[in-house]
Amino acid sequence: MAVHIDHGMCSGTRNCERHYAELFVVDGGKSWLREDVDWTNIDVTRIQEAESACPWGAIEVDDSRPLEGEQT
Amino acid sequence: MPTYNPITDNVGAPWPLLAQDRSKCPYHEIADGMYEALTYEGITDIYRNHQVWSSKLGVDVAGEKQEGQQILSFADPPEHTRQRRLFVKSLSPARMDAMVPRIQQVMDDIIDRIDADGGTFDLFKKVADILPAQLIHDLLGIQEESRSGLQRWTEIEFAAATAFDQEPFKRDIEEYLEFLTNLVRERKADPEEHDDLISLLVSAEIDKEVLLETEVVSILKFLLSAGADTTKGAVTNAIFALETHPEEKARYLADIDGLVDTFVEEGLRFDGPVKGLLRTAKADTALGDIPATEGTQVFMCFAAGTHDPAVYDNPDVFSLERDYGETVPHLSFGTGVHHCLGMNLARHELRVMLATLYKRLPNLRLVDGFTPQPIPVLMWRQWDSMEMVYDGPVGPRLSPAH
Repeated sequence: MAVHIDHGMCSGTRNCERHYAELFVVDGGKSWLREDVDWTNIDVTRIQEAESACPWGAIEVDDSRPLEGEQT
Repeated sequence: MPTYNPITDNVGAPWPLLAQDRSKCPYHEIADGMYEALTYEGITDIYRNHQVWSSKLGVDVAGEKQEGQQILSFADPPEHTRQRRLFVKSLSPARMDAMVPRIQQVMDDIIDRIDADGGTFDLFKKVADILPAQLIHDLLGIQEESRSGLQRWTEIEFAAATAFDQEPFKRDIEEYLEFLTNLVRERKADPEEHDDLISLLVSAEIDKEVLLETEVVSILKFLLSAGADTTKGAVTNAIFALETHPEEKARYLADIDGLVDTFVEEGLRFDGPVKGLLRTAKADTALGDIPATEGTQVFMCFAAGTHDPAVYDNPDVFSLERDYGETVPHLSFGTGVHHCLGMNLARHELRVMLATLYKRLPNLRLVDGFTPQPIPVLMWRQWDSMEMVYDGPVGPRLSPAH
């Protein structure tokens, strides 16, 4: 599962941070994946909750890829 | 009953009364089967808990919309989720950023007309009532000849949304829907011909899901009011707040470019255009210690929540010294899955209006002795007028003349 944040849609609303502050942090009006994330110890349910909670559809979770993160 | 009842009481500055009520209890019954929530935490809990608290059953006193008109703010998941996915890209941050030069141009045209008319002016009529509506018309690709008619219909829509009896508005609303339906059908016939939001909506598709024609029509109707009524209230409220706080005004005038973003956010926190919204319980639940049976309504009073001392230091103080990188987000754009999609456009419009007014109109101020009156509506915080005056000559345009 890969987590991708689309900065073209992200508006820094913070729903993701509220759901999973250990993974997402809002800075400068955009959401970012934390640099110190331990990708071997991730709560997939909370990622999915953050994805559903984003009002901008800015978080995409790709089940076909290994667990990792990126933002563009 | 609380000291201040948002249904029946119309007060220019309700915050001390709301503070009194909040200090006694976070929830109060304001009508039979209807409560108000007065704390930031209580409001956000309700707002985010769409599984229990329904928008579909009514967010304003007009109640549940007819089938086909239950869109976005008036819908619950899963319909809301589907609609929002199909709609959201049309209001993307990048698309809204690209509108800034046009917003500035429209604002400069407005100032030029104020200059040509001379004398005092009602900021509500001459600025607030014009710019947001014009930008929404641009976004939707509305022809110039249709705009004044649309403006009339949106005013009727505003009155209807705040009325308990819908019957007087029925015929006008039917005509309005007919006009919008024809517009949508024109775009569907050739979506490639126009590069506008209507064309985007009629051709939006994700995983073979599309928006129904009735949904597109209702989204347009919603945008034409929500995209204008909120911003016009926001700019007028912000200016009245600034004008009644001389130290903050001096601070702003000394650094308009540096403080306009803070001014936008603090204006929305201190006196946002939406006093609150309703939700209806889909199941038995509770408001704090108060049982709330299915069907109970709660008015999420944003005017109270954004003045909650549990969240904001000196909440009843209008201050341009707040750090909005650190300050808890205000509620004017909502929270949760119903977060306002027009937020980025609204912020751009507010920045341009609030900066341009004070840059181009020297010594802009309220007319001496003028006191605006709040409109007596449950959902809205809005003044009925805003008489202003300035000393000429007017400063140069901030965008090219055309």
